[in-house]
Amino acid sequence: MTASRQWWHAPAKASARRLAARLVASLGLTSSPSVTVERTYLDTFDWRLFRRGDELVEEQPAGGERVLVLQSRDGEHAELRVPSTGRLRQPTELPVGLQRRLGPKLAPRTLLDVGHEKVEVWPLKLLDSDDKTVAYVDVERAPTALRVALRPVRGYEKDADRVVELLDSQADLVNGLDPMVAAVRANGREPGEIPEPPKLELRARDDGRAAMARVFDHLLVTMELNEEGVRQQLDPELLHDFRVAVRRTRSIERLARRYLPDDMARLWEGEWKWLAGVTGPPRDLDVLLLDLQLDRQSVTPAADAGVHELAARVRARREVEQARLCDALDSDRYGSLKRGWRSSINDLASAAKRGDTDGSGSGVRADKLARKTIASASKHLMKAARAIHDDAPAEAIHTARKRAKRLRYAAELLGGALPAEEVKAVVATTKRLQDDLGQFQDAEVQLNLIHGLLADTSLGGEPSPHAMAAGELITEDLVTRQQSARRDLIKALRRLAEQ
Amino acid sequence: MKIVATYSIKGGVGKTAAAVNLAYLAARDGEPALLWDLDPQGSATFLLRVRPKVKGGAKAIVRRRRSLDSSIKATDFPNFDLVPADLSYRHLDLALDRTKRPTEQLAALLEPLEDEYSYVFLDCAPSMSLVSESVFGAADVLLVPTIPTTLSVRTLEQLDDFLDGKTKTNAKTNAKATRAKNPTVLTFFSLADRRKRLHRDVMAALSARPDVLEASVPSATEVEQMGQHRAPVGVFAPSSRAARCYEDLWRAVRKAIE
Repeated sequence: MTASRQWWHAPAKASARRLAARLVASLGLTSSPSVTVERTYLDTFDWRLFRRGDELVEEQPAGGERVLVLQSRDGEHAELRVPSTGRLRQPTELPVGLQRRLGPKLAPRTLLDVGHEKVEVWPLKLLDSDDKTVAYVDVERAPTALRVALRPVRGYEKDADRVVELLDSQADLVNGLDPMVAAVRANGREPGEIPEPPKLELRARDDGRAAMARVFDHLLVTMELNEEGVRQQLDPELLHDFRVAVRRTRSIERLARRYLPDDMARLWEGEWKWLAGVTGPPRDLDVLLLDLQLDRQSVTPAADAGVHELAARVRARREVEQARLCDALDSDRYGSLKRGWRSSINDLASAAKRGDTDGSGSGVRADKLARKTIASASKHLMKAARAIHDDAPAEAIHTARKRAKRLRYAAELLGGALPAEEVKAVVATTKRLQDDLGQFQDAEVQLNLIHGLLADTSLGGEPSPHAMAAGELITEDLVTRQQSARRDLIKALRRLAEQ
Repeated sequence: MKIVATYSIKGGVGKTAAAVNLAYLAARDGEPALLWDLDPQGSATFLLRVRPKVKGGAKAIVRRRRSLDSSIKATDFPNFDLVPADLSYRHLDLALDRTKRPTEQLAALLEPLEDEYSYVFLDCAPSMSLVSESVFGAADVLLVPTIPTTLSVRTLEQLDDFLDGKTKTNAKTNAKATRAKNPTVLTFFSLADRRKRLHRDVMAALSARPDVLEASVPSATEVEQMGQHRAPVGVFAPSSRAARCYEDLWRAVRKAIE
């Protein structure tokens, strides 16, 4: 544990050089020539570093080596400075020392540039009688601010306290904002703030149509919040969330169709299917890429070269799919779907508000609608579960998976209108089931993808023997995992069918 | 966290220089490194410009009156920290002797730092004592600098005998039930002067041993100048032969550890 870093701000128009000279004289510091430093602050889209008190910044001093600096805002951990070899954005590609400190929790996320600044730094130091540095004091000229940063040195906290006292006593210096926070704000964002849809709240006595409108609105807002991130490919999680919102919309629309106006379901069903189809391939490639990154950490150096090549082919295909996805998101078809669906949601909410007594779903309370929808989804899942036997084809398992998902979505979304204990068990069971089913299905998808990627010469020519060997290795592993998942889920589905 | 101890029964063989330079190189690569100066002379402490002052003495650390964490001082080099030594370390043997399992104490004291450092370097005093045994119990690697002379070879053999005896004792007392490790011994030639026939002969004779590393550190002015500059060789003479030799040595040690 070391003392935490602190900042003071001087009047923005003051001279940095004069301020540095004054501090050298009044605090007894030693100085070095100023240097221009470009800083890029990094974090995940959901602020995993910021939320745990860490700050990762890539520093590029003019004429110097680029370094990644991991700092602890509260001083809990010592600063870690690691030479940076390139713009690494996958946590699994970071140097080992950083990975160890950041921990595995960061792994599925991409590191994004969340803020940037270019500053001129006058580095000053407080030395003891052995010429040992006991505190670092940097005077920094940023575009809109002049600040003094104190970086305490571990084991020399008393010296840092002395510097704090002296800086506090300077009339023109006031305690200031963390430069990272300032840089992020300048970028139009707020550290720690994740754009989220409003919380979905349903009440038992609500009109069923109003409840459905709220559910659909919640899902549409979720899609819209993730849309730009999907377009810019900021993080695989954003496409995942976007896709889940699409799938949930389709599931609820299908399960509760009889409570919706006829044209609402009829008009948009095909369009939702189209959108789900567009988001599927890039998401499958994202999952494969994440798995390959994990594979690379556990294979021999020879196999690693093959996995690396395979990952490059995945990325090449992913780029193609990204272009298709962006075309879809920029298309009139997508715009019409969003506008039309929003209009249908508004009509549904208005009908409920007016208390229209004619048409589908009129006079049905939210709790009744939820209960019936969940019961119907449950019935469908049980039927699919009963069809599963030891030799069941992959298609039957896929059907069971889709039905388990539908039931889970219904319980999670419409279940808000029911007492929590009524849906808790359904959500837990379907979640467990979906994990097993998901493992089976992911392995199935990845087996097909790997075969296709190795056969596709448009993705960088013929694959090397290393890549072929890695493909075989991964295929063997996937087959083993799939067989194991199949056994687990057949057991789970049978248990369910017996209930 | 891997623990590397630079150890020799003999003094003046380059233990401290190796510990300081290797810890610096590990840290420069972005691996947080801690050097624990266990030598009451405090040479590593001096070389890193830290004052030889341990609050409460070594005894306070061994008796857990002060955590090892609170004794850590950052050096002037990124990711490189030091636990300084002072003269109180001459009583470290006594302090260890008063604990229940003296040979496991250093390992136990380092355990809380597991997540913080990639490498810990123990710079040992030249002796065969309870401190040494505690070092053997904590270290993954025992890095033994050896001057290629007849007497040094004899010292190396003495260490072999001692460690063989210790391994047998551990086997008898079921070492698994304790924290005691059986460190991997790595030997490198230190202060080697290839112009001397004796050095060449000894190096040739010992190179057949599997624990002898190819990398060696020559007798070099830059290593001696560490005392003047109070910094690792890589800081003030980065392109010198000595600096390159330490880099080779670090690569070899890291490879052996991995």
